[in-house]
Amino acid sequence: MNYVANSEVPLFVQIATNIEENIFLGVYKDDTQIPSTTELSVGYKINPATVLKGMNLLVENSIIYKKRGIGMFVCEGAREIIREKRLKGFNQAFIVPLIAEAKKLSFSNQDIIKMINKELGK
Amino acid sequence: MKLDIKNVSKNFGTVEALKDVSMSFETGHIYALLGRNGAGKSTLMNIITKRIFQSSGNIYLDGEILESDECLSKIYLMSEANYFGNIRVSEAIKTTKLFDESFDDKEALSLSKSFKLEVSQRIPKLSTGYASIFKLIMALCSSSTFVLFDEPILGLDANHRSVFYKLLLSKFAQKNEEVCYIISTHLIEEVSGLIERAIIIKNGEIVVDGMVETLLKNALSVSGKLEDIKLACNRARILSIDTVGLVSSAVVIGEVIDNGNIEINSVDLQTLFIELTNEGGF
Repeated sequence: MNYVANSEVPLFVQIATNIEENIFLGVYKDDTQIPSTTELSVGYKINPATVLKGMNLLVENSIIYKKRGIGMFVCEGAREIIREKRLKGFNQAFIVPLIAEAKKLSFSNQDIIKMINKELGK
Repeated sequence: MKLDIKNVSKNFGTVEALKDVSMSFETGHIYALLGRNGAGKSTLMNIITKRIFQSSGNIYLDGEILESDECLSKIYLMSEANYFGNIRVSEAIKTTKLFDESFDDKEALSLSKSFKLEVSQRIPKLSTGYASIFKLIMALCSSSTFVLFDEPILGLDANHRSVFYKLLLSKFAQKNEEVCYIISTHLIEEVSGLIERAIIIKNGEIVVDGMVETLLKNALSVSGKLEDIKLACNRARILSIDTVGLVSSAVVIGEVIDNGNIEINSVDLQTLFIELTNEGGF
């Protein structure tokens, strides 16, 4: 994972997305501990306040929770929450730009559907 | 703990190196002090550590004028100068321990080993890179609360720079964030994720003092036709406009109205720095 300081996405959101991705992929399972703020800060060379902000974003979304004095743990059912969120974002992230580009190229609706079906058939 | 710089000015003969600057540094945060060559960064850092004296204004540590040895021992400056003279690295570590009981000499030796710094070497004989490494180790092992780094990565290769950034953050965590690090550097992109707050100085004056995240959130690069850019940015502060052919691109701070004819992108700290400190010309 590379954190890009000049990306459109703020660093703390990139941190949250990265942890989320690893929970979704099953690297961090329900009720297991995720790396500490310090580990992430030192490992990725990012200010601990930024890392903490990213973690708080995940706490707000019930993806991780804090065990006092121990650290951050993955919430039960976190994967499902992440899946739901991604499903909602799928349209905006993939379908909308696909159609926008297709319209610029003057594709008809039929052309678009044909191309998708062709890819699906592979 | 809080370090306040209040209305500090410094004149060298007729040259005004610092013009009435005020800023605060607090423990628990990592700052960058940025500016072009000759902007006044080193002058300010030297004044904070009383290596030189201001022409006017004052510096306060938790409200008390910074004067006593007790207060000054809380501030450490790593700069280009070598004040150890012609002694060996090992001797410098021993001597420092005599003056600063809380100096972590064991850690200094162990870090020397991991950086492959030969402790039997005489300090003036060290290469530029290793002279920096030696001074960094001394700064990171000092027991001071405010540690100032003036060009800490001078002559360091990419690997050693990466080790330094990690070391800085792990020391910051080890000390439970009860320290304050202030880094002055020209390698802005490399430290932009490391720091929380940036202070940019130009010709002895502060042009920016703010949280990096907020600065970057408000700074945008806008490209398109010149008239469209002007229309979209009439409520923003335009820092620069470059035109190539029929397309212009501007770096702006503030609100941009997306009228559909322009492309809006984010800006990195280095780009923002360049636009804020440019003198015109090219």
